[in-house]
Formats: sequence, structure tokens, C-alpha cells
Amino acid sequence: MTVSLPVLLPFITGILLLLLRENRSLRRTIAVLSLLLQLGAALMLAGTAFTSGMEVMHLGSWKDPIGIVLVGDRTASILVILALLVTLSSTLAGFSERGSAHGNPMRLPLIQFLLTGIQLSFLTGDLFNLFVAFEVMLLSSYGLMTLEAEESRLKQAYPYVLLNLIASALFLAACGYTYALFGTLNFAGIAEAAATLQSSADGPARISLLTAILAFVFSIKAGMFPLYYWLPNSYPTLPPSLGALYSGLLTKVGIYLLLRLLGTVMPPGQEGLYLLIAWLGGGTMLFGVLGAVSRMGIREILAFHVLSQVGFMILAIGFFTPFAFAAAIFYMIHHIIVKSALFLIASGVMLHQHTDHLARTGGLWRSRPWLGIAFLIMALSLAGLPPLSGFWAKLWILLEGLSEGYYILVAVSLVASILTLASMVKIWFGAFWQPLPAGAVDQPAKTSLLWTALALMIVISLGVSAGVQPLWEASRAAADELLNPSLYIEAILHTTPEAP
Amino acid sequence: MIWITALLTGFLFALALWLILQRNWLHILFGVMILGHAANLVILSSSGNPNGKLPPITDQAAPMADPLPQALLLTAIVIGFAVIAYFLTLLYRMLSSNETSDLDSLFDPEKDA
Repeated sequence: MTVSLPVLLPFITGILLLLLRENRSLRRTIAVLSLLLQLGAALMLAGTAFTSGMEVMHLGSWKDPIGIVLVGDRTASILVILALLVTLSSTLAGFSERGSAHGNPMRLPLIQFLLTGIQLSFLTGDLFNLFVAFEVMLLSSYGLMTLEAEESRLKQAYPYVLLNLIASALFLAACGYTYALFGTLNFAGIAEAAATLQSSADGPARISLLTAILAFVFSIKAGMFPLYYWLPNSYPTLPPSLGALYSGLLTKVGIYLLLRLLGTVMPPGQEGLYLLIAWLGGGTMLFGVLGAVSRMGIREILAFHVLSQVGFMILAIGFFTPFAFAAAIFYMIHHIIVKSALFLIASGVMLHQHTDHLARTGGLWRSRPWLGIAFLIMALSLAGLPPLSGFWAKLWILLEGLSEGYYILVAVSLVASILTLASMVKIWFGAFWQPLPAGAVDQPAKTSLLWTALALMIVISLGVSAGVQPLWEASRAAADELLNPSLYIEAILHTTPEAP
Repeated sequence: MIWITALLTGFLFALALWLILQRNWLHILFGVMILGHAANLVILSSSGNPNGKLPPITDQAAPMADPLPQALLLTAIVIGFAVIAYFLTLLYRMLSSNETSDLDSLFDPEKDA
């Protein structure tokens, strides 16, 4: 039962917020209270997943292959919690945003519907239901992206929408191939049938082809090289607080599904594909960080860094060992929090100086030292300096790369790390250190709610840095479970559902 | 039979991508619509050869066409409709605010500078 709450609650809240269009403070209270309630449910789900195994719910008590299952396992429940934390802070920060005094009444409901789609794609155990979850997520994200965009920036949403439309069509076709090949769309059913098919004569070729198509779709969502053009140009179109939500979460849905697809659903041993993914991860890392170095807007730089970090996670997936999978999961925990916090800081800069272009900002270290300190901590964590969480996340991936013998890729990722530090220094100098340029503004603004959100993210991020040991063990446990399809098959197909 | 379907879907996918790569917004719109239809046809064909099979509404003993892909297809059509509606709105707002019907001039980097 708990496993359905992270999907149902935001859906109900979204409808409620649509109905209450007039009363602004009531809407805000409901949105925040609902997120806290969802957080409680998500913690309960994680508690069950880590102590007594994954929680499975057969919707409508329909059995495989017709029924849809929701599965709350360790990896999914970690991500459900992170999604809620980021949504909470992004919602809070949105309240203090400039120009939203009469804020668009559709923003809060759309955030809830976006969350519904994200949580469903983490929890679903059915390929076609995943398609539906994607579409719920994407339609809400299209809406949020264009809702408050300036007319001149609107066109930046076009590549995002078009590429996702193509990815959706491809995903739909892949669902058809899957059903034709396995006769089921249930992840556990596919895993079982694929293991049998793998041993037949032309089985491995068919499975590899299908896996490659699905991995291609998910890697478009993750922003993998070479199809990453849509991401860095479209994110600055968003209101800055929503940038935190998008950069933290949307690409990570793609990463999670790559982990799920390669780890649980499809049989292991597709070495060529893993190698390709590792190299594409390296490419994503390098091109992302080069883009970041070339840009001048804080949010543009941060959006390119999303790519570079995604590259690290994809690289870890390409190594395809339990250790690397655990490192990828830990990297996601670190990255979602830190990246959202950095976008919130960019939102703070925009509140005070009305722009995030580095040539027209400055002097913030003198006028708002706390913002500077927050930026320093987060930027150093992103670049991977010890003892912050980013250091451990990168260290484990690099160690695994060395022990598996991927020396060139390790070198590429070290170069990417150094360039990350360089572009963080660029933001530091442009926004905080250099004196305020002539003609630029630095105004006081109401930032109490933004600071609440930012403080939440910083405390959690420092908590991740301090609690590396337990979180790493949790990631190891999650990765072990993810890479053990027999556990997944057993829990979903061969356990009779409880009578409702 | 399956070869005809396979060739048709391949043709539709190719046509859709070719249309999407055009400059004119109307071509792009039709490209996106055909792309959706191509994917839907793949789903439908996953239920196998329908020859001689009855529609799923009957309760006779004769073999019945697989109803699941048809259910999936219905869902996909509805979602596709919503997405097209959104896409059309986006195209309209994007092009009318820039007073052009040519996507290529909209993304001209020299104009942005």
C-alpha cells in the first residue's frame, strides 16, 4: 500500500490545487503540507525496502502478464525520497521569486503532476506504464517550461519538446518489439523470458538490439552525448527555482532507468553495449564541461555541468560491476542535492541582481557573504574536493575504472574534474569576487523562503558528506539488489498478492 | 504479411524524420503526427497475424486476436493527441511572436548575437 502513496498523493494534490485557483496562501500551504506528507510516506517505503525487502503492489489485483505492478525496492525508494526533497526546496524557493507575486496559478499543480510522473517512473514495474509515466512527466515539464517563459526564449523549448517526442515514439515502438518478443511488458516477466531466450540460437542478437533501442531512449532522457543539445539551452528558459527541480531530477530518471534496464531487466553479458555506454559517458563528460567553460550565464554553466555529471554516472553504468553501480547510486544522491542547491544559489543571485550573466553581476561576496559561503561549499563539492560528498562519489568511480583497466576514460574524467573546478572559479569570480560592474544593480529582496530551501539543501548535503559511510553501505545494498534479477522476479511473479 | 507491415513502418518512420528535418512548420507538424502513427503501427503488429482470428469481444471458442496491444494502442493514441495539441500551441506561439514560418531563421545564431 505504501508504495502507491508517492504516486497517488501528488496526483490528488495537483487536482486539489487546480480546483483552488483563488486562495493563494491556502494553495501554498496545501502544496507544502502535501510534500511533507509524501516525504513521510517515502521514508516509510524506504524503511520497508531496506529492512524487509521490496514492496510490491499489484494494481487492481491483476496478475502478470496483464496487470501493472508498482515495486518499491531500495534504489527506487532512495530516489523517491530525493525527488521529494528537491521538489520541496524548489517549491519553497519559488515562493520568493521575483515576478511571481501574482504567480501563474498553474505552476503549483503542474509541479505536483510532474512529481507524479517522476515517482511513477521510479516505482513502476511495467514497461508500458513507464511510457505513460514518461508522458505525464514530459507534458507537465513542457507546460512548466513554457508557462512563464519570455517570448524571446520560448523557442528554446522547441528542441526539448521535439527530441522528447522522437524519443517517445521510439520508446513506444520498443514497447511493441518487447511485447512481440517476450509476450509480456512486466519487468520481471521480461527478465525471466529474456534469461531463457538468451540461451537460444538467435536470442542474444535480438535481446541486444532491443536493449540498445531502450538504452538509447533512456539516454536521450539522461542527456547523453551526442543527443544533449536540448538540455543546456532549454534549462535557462525556466524560472530559476524550477531549474533546480529540472536539473536535479529529470536527467536522473534516465540514469535510474538505465540502471534498472541493464541491471535487472535484461540479462548480463552484453559487453559491447557496456563499452559503448562507457565511452559515450566519457564523451558526455568532456563535451558537457567544455560547454560549461564557454558559457557566461550562471544557469547555462550549471546546466552544462549537469551533462558532465551525468557523464560520470553513465561511465559508472558502463563499467557494469556491483561496485560501479553502487558508485552511480551514491553519485545520484550527491548530485541531486548539490546541483539543486547550486541552482537555488543562482536563483538568489537573480533575485538581487536581476540577471545571471557573469559580465553584469558582481560584488556579492561583500554584500551577501552567506550566499558566497553557500556557493563555495556547493561548488567545491561539485568539483569533488575532500571531504565533501562529491569527492567520494568521484573517487569510487575512478577507482573502479582503474581496477577495470579503463585508463583513458579515467584520464578524461580527471580532465573534466579540473575543468569543472575552473568553471566554478569563473562563477565565483564573476558573481562574487569582482566589484559590481557599472550599471549593474544589487537590490535587497525578500529571500526568507529561498533561504529556507537553500538551508535545507545545504544541511542535507553536509549530512551526506558526514554520513558517507552509512549512505555508501545503503548504495552497496541497493546495487546488490538491483543486480539480482532473481530477487525481483521472485517478489513480483511468484509471490501471491495479499487480498485487498 | 509481417514483411508488408515492417516495410510500411520503416517507410513511415523515414518519412516522418524527413518531414521533421524540413524548415516549414507545417511539414514538421505532419512529421510528428506520422511518427506517432508509425510507432502505433509497430505496437499493433506485435499482436501477430490477425488472419482468421475473431475480435476480442466474442466468447466463442475460436482463436481471438490478442487484445492487449489494442488496449496499449488506445492509450498511446490518446496521449499522442494531447502531445500534438501541445506541440501545435508551442509552434503557434513561437512562430507568431517571431513573425516567421521558417524554423531555420528562428534558430539563426547570428540573429541571437
